[in-house]
Amino acid sequence: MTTVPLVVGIAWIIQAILIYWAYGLPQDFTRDGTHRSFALGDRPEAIRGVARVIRRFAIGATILILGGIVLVVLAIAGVRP
Amino acid sequence: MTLSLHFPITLTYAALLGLLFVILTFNVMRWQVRAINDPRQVEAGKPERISRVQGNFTESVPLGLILMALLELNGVMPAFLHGLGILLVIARVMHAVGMTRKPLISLGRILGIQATLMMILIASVAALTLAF
Repeated sequence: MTTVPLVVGIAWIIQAILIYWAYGLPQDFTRDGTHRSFALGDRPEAIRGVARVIRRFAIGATILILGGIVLVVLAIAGVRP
Repeated sequence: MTLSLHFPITLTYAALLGLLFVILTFNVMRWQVRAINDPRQVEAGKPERISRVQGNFTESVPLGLILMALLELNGVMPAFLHGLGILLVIARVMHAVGMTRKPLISLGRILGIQATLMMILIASVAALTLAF
């Protein structure tokens, strides 16, 4: 039953959940990449740049969780190894 | 009775990462010497950042290699181990390059640390499935 897609898929889902936990969910960010809890307008540009990068974490985690689900489904469907 | 264990795959990646560790350590020395010789020519915080590159390496790579060796000992297929090893080497190179070049957050640093964590997570899940 244990296959590479299953192991990798579970690992990706765990990593995505941890990224959400650490950096926030995609809906926590505004379009310019700033976290909703930030006061807009009075942040230095360097901090805004960092915030935009952090937003990518949440997007990356979404891709990771979708990939993980696909791999787990493939594993359950019987894809080997 | 003698017990002979061979970990050819883990050995290969441990050797590559060992070489990378030596380079990173010399880089720390290089920037410390630069900071002493001519502090005005050295970007503020750069020697500390270079030191953290090496520090982060020593904090994560040994666990990754231990997990790889244990998986190899338990007969996990070579292709899977090579995948983990390549992922770890690429992750550490990306982290080193990204963190050396740019302060705060850089793409290399982010992808490097996330790929390292991914390698450790995949190896941990695989180890758990073998254990139970």
